[in-house]
Amino acid sequence: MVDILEGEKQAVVDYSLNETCRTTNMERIRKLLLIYDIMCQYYKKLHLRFERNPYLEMPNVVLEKAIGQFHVHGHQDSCFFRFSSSFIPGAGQVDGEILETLWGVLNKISWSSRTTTLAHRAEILDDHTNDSNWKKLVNIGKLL
Amino acid sequence: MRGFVVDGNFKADHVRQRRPEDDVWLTSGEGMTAEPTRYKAHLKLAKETKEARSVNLTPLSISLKLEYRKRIPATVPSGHWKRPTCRDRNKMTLMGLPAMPVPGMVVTALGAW
Repeated sequence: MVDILEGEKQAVVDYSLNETCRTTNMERIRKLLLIYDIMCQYYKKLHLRFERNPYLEMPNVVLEKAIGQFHVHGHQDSCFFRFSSSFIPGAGQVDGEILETLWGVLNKISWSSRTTTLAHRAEILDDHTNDSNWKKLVNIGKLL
Repeated sequence: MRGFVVDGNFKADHVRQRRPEDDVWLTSGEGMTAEPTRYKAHLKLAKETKEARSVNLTPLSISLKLEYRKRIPATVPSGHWKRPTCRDRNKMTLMGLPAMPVPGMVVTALGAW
């Protein structure tokens, strides 16, 4: 998670992607399915941005680009055929909107984290995200 | 047309701290949130890549078909306008459209103006 300091820029998402790849044991992974709301414009020159910036490092993977099922239908018709996760071999039945379920929970605590210190805010977000992950893990049995 | 949805996360402004130097970071970049100093250094350095002028690459016959299905007016793409093919023209005649649409012309399922 990164703070959006000055609007939703590509740099913000680039860093988030970089941190995700850095912290999730990407060494043996060959293919990465990246699902993002505005992938159709984000993926343009993505590798160039990563190459030029010393803070970013792209893992050696094949990047599969997709847009979540909720957002892709709000895009142009061409985006649906190019980026819908339902047309990507190996993607399975994935909606790609799993983070939205996290925001639903985090929005409720965002008001109380407004006036905390930044460090405490990071701890609150960590705790609630961990809790959300834990609940998803525990309840996955019902879904499968 | 481009739409923006602003949800709660965009409005989650943080109140400015009186003494940020007093902040004690127990976990800084170890948890889910990014390490702030490195992140800010990155933001300072990062350059945005500008989005190129959008060009409609969908063939005219297909965009007309999609437009017909949605029953809403669509503008004939001016960025990538091609002379309509014979098949396009046949289709457009069937739909009651003029055989030679002009770039920027608005077409609907009912006709063109």
